[in-house]
Amino acid sequence: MTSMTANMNLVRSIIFLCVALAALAIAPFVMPAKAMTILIEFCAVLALALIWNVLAGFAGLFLMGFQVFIGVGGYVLFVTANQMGVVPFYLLPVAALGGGLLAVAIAPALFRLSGAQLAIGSWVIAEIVRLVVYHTDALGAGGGISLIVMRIVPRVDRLPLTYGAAVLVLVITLLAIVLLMNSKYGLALRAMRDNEVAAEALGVNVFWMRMAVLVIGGALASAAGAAYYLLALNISPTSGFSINWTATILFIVILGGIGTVEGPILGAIIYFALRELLIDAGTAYFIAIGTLAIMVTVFLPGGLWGLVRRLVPFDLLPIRKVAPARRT
Amino acid sequence: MVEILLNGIFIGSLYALFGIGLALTLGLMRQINLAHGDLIVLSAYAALEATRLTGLHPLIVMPVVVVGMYFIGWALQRVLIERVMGRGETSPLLITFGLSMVLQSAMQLAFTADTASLDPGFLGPASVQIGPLTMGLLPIITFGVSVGVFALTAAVFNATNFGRSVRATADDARTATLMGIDTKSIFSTAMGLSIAVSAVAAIFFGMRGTFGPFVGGNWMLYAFETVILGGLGSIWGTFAGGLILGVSQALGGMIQPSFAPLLGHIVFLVVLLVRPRGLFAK
Amino acid sequence: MISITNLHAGYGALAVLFGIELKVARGDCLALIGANGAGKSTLFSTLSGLLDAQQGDIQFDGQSIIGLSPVTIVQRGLIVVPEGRRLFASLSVEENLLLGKNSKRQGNWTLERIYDLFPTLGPLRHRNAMALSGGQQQLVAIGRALMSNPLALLCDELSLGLSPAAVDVVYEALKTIRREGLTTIIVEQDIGRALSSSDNFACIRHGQIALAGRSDQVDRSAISAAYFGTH
Repeated sequence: MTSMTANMNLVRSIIFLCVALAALAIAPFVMPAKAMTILIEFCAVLALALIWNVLAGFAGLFLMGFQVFIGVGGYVLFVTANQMGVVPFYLLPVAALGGGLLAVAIAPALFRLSGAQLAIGSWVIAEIVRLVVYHTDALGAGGGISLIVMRIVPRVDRLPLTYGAAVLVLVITLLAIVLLMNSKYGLALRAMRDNEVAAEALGVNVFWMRMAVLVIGGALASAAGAAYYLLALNISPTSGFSINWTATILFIVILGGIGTVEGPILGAIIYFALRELLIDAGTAYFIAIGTLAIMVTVFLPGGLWGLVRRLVPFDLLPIRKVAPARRT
Repeated sequence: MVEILLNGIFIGSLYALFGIGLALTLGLMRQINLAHGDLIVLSAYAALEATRLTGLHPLIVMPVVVVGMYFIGWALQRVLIERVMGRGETSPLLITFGLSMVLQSAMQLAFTADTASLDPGFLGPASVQIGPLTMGLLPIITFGVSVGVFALTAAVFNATNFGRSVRATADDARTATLMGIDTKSIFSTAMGLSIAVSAVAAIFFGMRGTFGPFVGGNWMLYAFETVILGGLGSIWGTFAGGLILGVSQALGGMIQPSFAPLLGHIVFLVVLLVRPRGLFAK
Repeated sequence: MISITNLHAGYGALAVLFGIELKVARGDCLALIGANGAGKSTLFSTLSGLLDAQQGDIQFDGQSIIGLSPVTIVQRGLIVVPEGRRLFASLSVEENLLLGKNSKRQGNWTLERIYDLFPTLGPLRHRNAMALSGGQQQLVAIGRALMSNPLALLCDELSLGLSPAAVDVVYEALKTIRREGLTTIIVEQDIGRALSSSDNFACIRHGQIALAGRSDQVDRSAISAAYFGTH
């Protein structure tokens, strides 16, 4: 790639990001409340999908138990906000801290597994956390807890502030990914994705690389989960630690294209469009999206974003592209 | 107390059957079928429908269900998974994830979300007196069938050309191909057997407890825990892994019924941390 | 027995073989020599069916084997003794040998004949294959291939990583096998060894046959010119 087209790409990416940010900034002033709630959910879920995709697509951490970070983020936020009696929006960093610590705690068990076994192992860990919360009366046991402290926030401010929180988490997530992918660690991650042993031989410390990505990803995922539960105002072990979270994220990433940074953005837009369109289809809806997931995996390994990329060579995000490795 | 332990052993012998199928595909293809549990649930429903239609005992319709599930597993490998093999460990997970979603929803649509169970008929109340203990006939048959299936599996693995070919393919699929082993056929046969063996367990499970369209996820987790507890690659290790999981759950259930899966998961986690390669790995 | 005409093969956009022409008569032994990267492994991969040819033809025992799967090619009677031996680690010596039977070809190779041919293997038959020395492993790899009752053997780097004494044993075994009428192609780094063990040789350079001829009437300087591309 010549530097000329690289620059063009960068300019285009920056224009895209500015337009997207502007649209997100204007939204609360022009949109009805119903649309706002969907947009909040969209921002939170998109951030989650972006994080999951970096973990699975680049760091080799395919986590079926990803929901554990979402639930923990929500619970940490609810408990600390209720206990301290402060405006919950300020406590998103605490939720993130909770997610980061959780990542450190589960890493020793997780890193003993790899590939498909790691995927299922993480699910077991998520189930353990869910069941422990379920049996802890201080956390409301099976019934869960409500964000009662939200009472101190005037009703009219709640939705815009929640929206702001969700957008903030999304923007930080995107920034983190763009920075990570453009740093030397980004190259290391790509190398790891392609060949772990070779990456190790080239001096990439795969263990610490993984650890760092898991901790940052876990922290951001907990913040995103907390942002979502600011909207929901209630969290229970069944909802917060539901495998359906990971199922949704997985569907978005498959649809958009695993291992590309832009894929989840496209996937999330399509997922939300499908969900709103097929809202009355009930169970048949899940059959449809499950079938779609299978078909895309088999016939479009790069996802829809891969298809778009083949038709128009264009990057949404300013991420340095590395020449594809040639097999010899 | 003794009764609870025995119950744990009987349930564990079923988990072992869930696990041996998963171990076969994991060891051979290094892939996990995320729909493993849902396919087990499907076989329980298939048996339920078959008994309803014919009025026969679940154990009588079992051969038909088992053969049917063999072909479903075989087709899953041939039609879907085979297309993505060689693309890394992610693609089979994604495909079977989609399948899991489809199966759960389809079963909910066909059989409602209510729990169901298989009628054990005369086997339900039947019991035998062994010394001071009264034991149900059904649990004893269950345990016996599980041991039988494991003995058969071990024999097939150690002493037949198919078993040797499976082990060789698991070691090095490329060289196996060069030696004239049709690895694609080995893979699809293994996937078929994986589901068929689990179907046996599903029918016994359905006669003792209940199942619903969404329990497949948990059953898959139990199968996975069984395999890792015992150590991948060890047939009787998997059997022991199932028993350990079953007994752990039974002990957890003594504290409080909802503690059963939690204690099972915790035992799994502890073993993973202390002996990552499993308790009985070679 | 083996006749290759105008064979082109490679990996995607990377072409490796450009019009290979080779003939091996029934019962003959051909030594394939050439520097690393010249295309010897690619030729073996194409012959064994792991890699599809892009152009050209391979006739084996009177029929084209282009487009056939590795499994079918083994059934036709062409089998490799792979580089690095590649024994199956969780199988015993005897189980490794028995795997050769997957070809379902009729023939007179049995376990007993393998143990007669390689007497050192008999007492080790129930050992794990990986517990053997490199030389013994190479004998098992040859035996495993023979158990498929092949018409032709493709031996890839038989001496790789073996002690000189072990190499002598392996090549002695090869000589015995050739008396059974088997056609063989050997790839060997040691050119002297390659020429002394074969009837004919072919030297590959840059994916083409640079020089071919009878092994016993060879001009060493011509070989080194063909090998290194110097004049």
